[in-house]
Amino acid sequence: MSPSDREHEVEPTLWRALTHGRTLFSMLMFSIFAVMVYVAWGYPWPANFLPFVIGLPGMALSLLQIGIDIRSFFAAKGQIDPRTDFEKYMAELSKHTEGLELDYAKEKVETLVEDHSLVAKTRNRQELILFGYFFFLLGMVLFFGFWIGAPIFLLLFLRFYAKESWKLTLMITGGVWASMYLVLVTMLSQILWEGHITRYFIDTYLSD
Amino acid sequence: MIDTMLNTFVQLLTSPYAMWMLLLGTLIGIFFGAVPGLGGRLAIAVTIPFVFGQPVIAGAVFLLSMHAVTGTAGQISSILFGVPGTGDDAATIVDGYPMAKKGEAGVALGASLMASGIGGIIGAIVLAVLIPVIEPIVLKFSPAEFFFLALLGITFVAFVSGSAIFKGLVVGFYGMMLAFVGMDPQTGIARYSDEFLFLWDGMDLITAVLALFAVPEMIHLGVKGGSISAVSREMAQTGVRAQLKGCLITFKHWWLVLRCSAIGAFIGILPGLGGSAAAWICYGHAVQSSKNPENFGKGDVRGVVAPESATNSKEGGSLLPTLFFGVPGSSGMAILLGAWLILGIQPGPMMLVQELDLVWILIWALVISNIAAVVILLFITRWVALLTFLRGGILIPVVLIVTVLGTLLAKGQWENLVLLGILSVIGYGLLKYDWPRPPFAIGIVLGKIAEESLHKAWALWRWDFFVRPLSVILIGLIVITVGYAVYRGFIDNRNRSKPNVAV
Repeated sequence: MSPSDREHEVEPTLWRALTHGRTLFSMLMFSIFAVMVYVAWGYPWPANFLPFVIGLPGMALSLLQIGIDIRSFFAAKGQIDPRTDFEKYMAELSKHTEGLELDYAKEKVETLVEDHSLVAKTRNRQELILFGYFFFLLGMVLFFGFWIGAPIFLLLFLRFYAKESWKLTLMITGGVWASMYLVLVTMLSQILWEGHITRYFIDTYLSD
Repeated sequence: MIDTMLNTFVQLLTSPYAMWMLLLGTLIGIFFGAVPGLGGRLAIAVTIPFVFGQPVIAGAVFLLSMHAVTGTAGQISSILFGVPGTGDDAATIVDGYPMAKKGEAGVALGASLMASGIGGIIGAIVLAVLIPVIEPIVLKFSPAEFFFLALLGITFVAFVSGSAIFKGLVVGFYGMMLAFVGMDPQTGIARYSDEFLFLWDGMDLITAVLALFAVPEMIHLGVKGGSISAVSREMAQTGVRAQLKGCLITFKHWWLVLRCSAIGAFIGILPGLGGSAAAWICYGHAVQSSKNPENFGKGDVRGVVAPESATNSKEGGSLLPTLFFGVPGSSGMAILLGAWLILGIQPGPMMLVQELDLVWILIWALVISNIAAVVILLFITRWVALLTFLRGGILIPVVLIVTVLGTLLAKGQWENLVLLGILSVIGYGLLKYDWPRPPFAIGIVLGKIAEESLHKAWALWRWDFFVRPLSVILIGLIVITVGYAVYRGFIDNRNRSKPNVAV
């Protein structure tokens, strides 16, 4: 164990095990099944048959998984590698074959790999930022429509997340927008969602 | 049979639009295969909306050819840089990368290209040969058996979800539960949809697949990083002459290629066993059957041709349960099955009676796309290799936009964007906490089939459908599979001193 591991080691308690992301996610899966089974209670037969047949075992297995997660948490003394199984598999493979590993995008976190809690924090931050951008894209498209929302998202992502130059950012944004417009509107005559605000604006100010 | 076989070959070759879609599918498949972190499942997920409304044959051929060649292109980064594009390509690294380090990258690439091509063709031949064998069996199946077969499909996939057996079952059941959303045809009840009209037709399959596969992959790509920038671009340079030499070397090991292709095709038939299993089993077979096993791991070309022929041949094999039983042979096939359902193709025993022409066209598409991929890659590998350097920062926003576009194009309902957001969070949770996602795709596809079959069987036989001979056999198989899976899950968890599951 590295000195930094010892520094960050915290006594694994039941509360910490229950509030760990892995256990919380299993609880989320349990609640999805529980809610769906509860709702199915109000349906007549046979509409409720399969939701029961599938939902009840789903609840039981999710509960079992919660137990396994808690047990694993204690077995690992609260220090669980935040990498996915696939990443660990690939890293192990690269070690044996002396192949290259993929570069980490923003933060050089590989130096912290011994300290799982720090790596987890860095990854969580990265996930939040990326999900923030994704929900920004969804919001922009919902309110302003695809043709306005998508290029604004692309421009902001390329410039401020990917830190590309203004020149490349504008070139990619313009290129992607133009090629999509060419294919979808000019060639396929597709009409895409205009967005709530854009629709309101058009209806209020631009319609006859 | 021979008439249909030849007629469909001519029909495909003389249809310019279908051939164009086949070529386009092959090129897009090469792109998705060559960029590490993308892959065949994502390729199908993001292109489904664009084939919606296409002629059935052209759309089906496009999707299949795209899916079939991703493995062929995925080996480029494995061999040149030791970075597998997907898990299926991992076995190729063991000998492919040492060959590249010895200066034999071109030979390794040529050998793997040819082995992949031959594997793909043999997979298609195995499928074609098995059609007359499987026909009498498939036609004996009634709705009762199809109901149990759908349940068996879910349990099979969960069973082979590595050490995460319970997780696999839960995800499969979760997919099935989502398949029950919408108007119940028997009672007219709007299940789980109440006043949300956009859900009355059921959960949009395209949105669900994009949310579970495309968005999480992109977020994960951003978190872990995606391009190879630590090497000079000169490393990606390989000569056509060296690749041709590699192609010829493959024929020197024809017996090994043939054996591994046959093994791969049969592994593909078993639902749930993926390309990784096929590749590693055949790599092991190559080592075991070799007179000089000590050469493996140091750059032996047999270590390249064995896994490559297996991974590609399994696609032909996995089409068999997908097309004739409606039980996808792999996660890629599950998404493909969903896409075909959207196109209006109804996989099942009737494919053998009413849609045999389409089956043969798909077999020919598999053969032609594999040949096309080998020929194309032989000449453009050096440029395709540059795709490996494509930065995640550029790729992520473009794929996310295509994902949103796909959701909008699918049904034209803005509500599906909200659904995409919610399901993406769950999808990323599944990826992050090592819950296998393929059972979800299989569950959501099979859920509808299972319910329809159940209602038909109930109408025909009431409770008696449980005691039909084939039903009893299938119930027995389900019980054995689940029982063994639970037993193995307990043993694995007890033996595991340290958890190998991630946060």
